Parts: sequence; structure tokens; C-alpha cells
Amino acid sequence: MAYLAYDKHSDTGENSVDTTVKVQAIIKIVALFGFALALALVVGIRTLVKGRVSQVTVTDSFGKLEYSVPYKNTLYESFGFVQEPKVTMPLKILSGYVDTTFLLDSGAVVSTLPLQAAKDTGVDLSRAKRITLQGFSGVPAFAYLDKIVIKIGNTDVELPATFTESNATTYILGRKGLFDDFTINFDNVQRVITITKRS
Amino acid sequence: MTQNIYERIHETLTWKRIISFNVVLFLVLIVPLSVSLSQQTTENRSSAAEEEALVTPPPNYPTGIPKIDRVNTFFGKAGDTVVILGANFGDYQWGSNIFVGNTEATKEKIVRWSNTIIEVEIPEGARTGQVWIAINGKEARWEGSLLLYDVARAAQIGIEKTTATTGNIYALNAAAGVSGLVELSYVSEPIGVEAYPGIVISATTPGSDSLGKKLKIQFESPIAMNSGKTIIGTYTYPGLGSIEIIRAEIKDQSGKLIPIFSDPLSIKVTP
Repeated sequence: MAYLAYDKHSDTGENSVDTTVKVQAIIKIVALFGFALALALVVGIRTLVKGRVSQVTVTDSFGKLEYSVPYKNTLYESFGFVQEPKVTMPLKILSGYVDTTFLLDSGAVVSTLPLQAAKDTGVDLSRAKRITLQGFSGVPAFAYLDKIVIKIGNTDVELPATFTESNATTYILGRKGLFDDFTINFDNVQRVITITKRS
Repeated sequence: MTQNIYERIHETLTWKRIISFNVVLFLVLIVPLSVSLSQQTTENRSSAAEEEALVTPPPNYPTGIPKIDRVNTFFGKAGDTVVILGANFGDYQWGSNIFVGNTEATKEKIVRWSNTIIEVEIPEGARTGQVWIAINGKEARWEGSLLLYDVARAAQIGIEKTTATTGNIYALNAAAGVSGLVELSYVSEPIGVEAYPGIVISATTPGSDSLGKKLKIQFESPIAMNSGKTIIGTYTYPGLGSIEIIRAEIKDQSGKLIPIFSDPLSIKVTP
């Protein structure tokens, strides 16, 4: 007849020694590559937070309004592909809202829209204040000062805008009104434009 | 008893060795990390810079006689900008004066002053009337009248295309108008204007100035115009370049100017 001896106390003591060694060994391996791991963690978080934006994203909650839009590339005959800071936003017109592509121009004092936009938005140019805009040639061109409403997220934003006498001009969002109240970040590395407003 | 892997790691990796390895790793990675950070775009933030004071050189008035060719546009409201085009205005305003709608425009109302172009806001208190400048004692007057208007009550003048080479010059809401003139600027010749039935063209005067060719059409309406649309005349031209109304006047029976304006959409026709 065979007997199996089982020493509970001695076995527990051996296991507890093993566990301590095991834990310490793991900690040491982690510590060995601690710097590299910390670095990888920082780079990973940075990439996640400032990750490339491939589509329009809007955050409109907790008092923070943020609108991100990817840069668009335009092919120019003389310059090749050039990143264009263009954003498509709903513009309030007489019949509702229409998605309109604006050039976000930090060099423009005020937003400028073509004559057709005055018709669409119902602006009566005869009542609007007439001002002059300086072109490249130095010859002044008339424009009419009024207001437009664009929608950023779910928020209507009213901006002063001028309407030119030509239908050929680009829809431009300038500094007055927009750059005063919003932080606009042109990130050419991540190729994203972020428009942020904090209440 | 043989050592297991954990025990061997525990014994081999002393804390001294671990710290030394991390220091070496740091020294190896710090170089490419620094290069990478230095190559990233720098974000600059600055508060508003102080505005530079404009320095105006001492007066050096032109020797030629000042001349006003055009006042663009010939109508406006207080606060609207008009552009005065001509010659010998001087590079700066210095001590020169400008009167718009019989009222002197103060320096604050001057948007831009150059030798050939003055941009000025119509001052408060201006009324339909003359535009003139006084440059170092020499005066120049515009032959037309700047028309101050109120949208609710003013008449409108306009030009519309009917075909690629023809179109109409018309007035809206010009009740009681019996005479007037329309001056067109144009590019391509020949240009002709024929009176519309019920209108008599008394004179057609071609001319030109530093900005191009123009044609002055004086007309009469034997029966006073009504509050609807009155076609004054029909123009014909080769269809090249634009035609623009650069001046217009409509007078009532007593010779008084009727306030008129033009919608920016109907002041010009393009090919």
C-alpha cells in the first residue's frame, strides 16, 4: 500500500518565494525597457490625440464647439498640388441652408461672397453700405457690406460680409467675426483645419 | 536544484544594470528625438503689434491743373464710398479739400487718396449736388451731380441685355420725369442708341477720358414718365466688352433732379 505524504506548510512557503521572485523579475524586465516604453506611450498618445483627420468632425457639446476639416488639394498648372484651406459649411439662404465651400482666408479682413450670394441670401444691395475693396491692380472695386449666417455644428454664427459686384469671385471667410471669436488652427503637417470656440 | 528563468532574471538584472541600460537608451534616442522635434512646425503666438504711425511727406502738389473725369458711382447714401477718378490730385491729401454732395468730407472720411484716385465716404449731411476738389488753390468740378437717394422713394435706372449685341436702357419708378441724360462707358465700336417710342433723344455726344470711351445721351419724355418701367432707348454694339451706366439724371417739369439709383445687378452689361 502506498501513501502520499502532503506537507501543506512547506509547499506554501516554496510557492510564496517563487511568486515574489516572479514579480520582481517582471518588474525588472519592464524597468529595463522603461524609457523606451514611456517614449512609445507618449508618441502613441500624441498620434491618437492629433491624429490625421480624413473627414469633417464636429464637436458641439459641453460648451466647446470644435469643427475639424481636412485640407483639400488643388492642382495648379504652375504650382502642382497646393493645399487649399477650404471648408464646406451650411450658409443660410432664403429657402434654408445650402452647403457652401469657403476659402478660409486669414489675410482677408472680412468675408466676401459673390453677387449671386446676395440674391440667394436676400440681401438688398441698394440698402447695404457700399465700400471699396483693393485688388491686385490697385483699382478699387465696389462691395456691399451686410451680414451672413453660417452654421458651425448646430450653432448659427452671424458674420459681417461683403458682396462683390461680380459672380466670379470666390466665397471667402475672412477675419472679422470669425477669427475674433474662434481659434483657427491651420495644421499643414496633419493637414487639418480646426475651428474652435469655447463659451 | 536548478534555477528557473525568473530566478535567473532576478539575479542577473540588478537595479544598477537596469538604470545604466536606460541611461544608454536615453542617450541613444535623444539625438533622433531632438532632430525630429526641431523639424516640427513652430507655433507662434503674439499679442497685437503696435500700429505703425503713418508718415506723410511734406506737401509737393502737382503742377498740373486737377481734373475729375468720373465719379463712380453717381449715386449713394451717407456712408457709402464713392471713387473720384481723374488727374493731378496729389499723392497725399495734405491741405487739399474735397466736397461731396455740396458737403466737405473731413479727413476721417477719406478712404484713400492718390494722384488719380480718391476714395471718399459720403459725409452725413450731404445732399444731391456737386462734387469738387480744391488742390493747393486749384479747383476741379465734376460736371455731373452726385445723387443722394432713399431706396423707398428713389427712381431706378438700369441697362439690360436683350440679345448679345442689343439691349435697353430703362427707368423704374421715375414718375413725373420729363427729361434727363444717361452716360455710358463702352469698349467696342460702333455703338448706337435709338429712342424708344414715346421718348425723344435730343443729343448724343461721344467723348472719352483717361478711363476710356463714353457716350452721353440726352433725352426728353413729352409725356411724363409713370411709376412703372419706362424704356428710354435701345442700344446696339458689337457685343465685345462691357457697357456701363456711369452717370444718369432725370428731371421733373420744374427742372428738379429726381433722386435715382441703380441696382448693382443692372448698372452694367457684360458680353
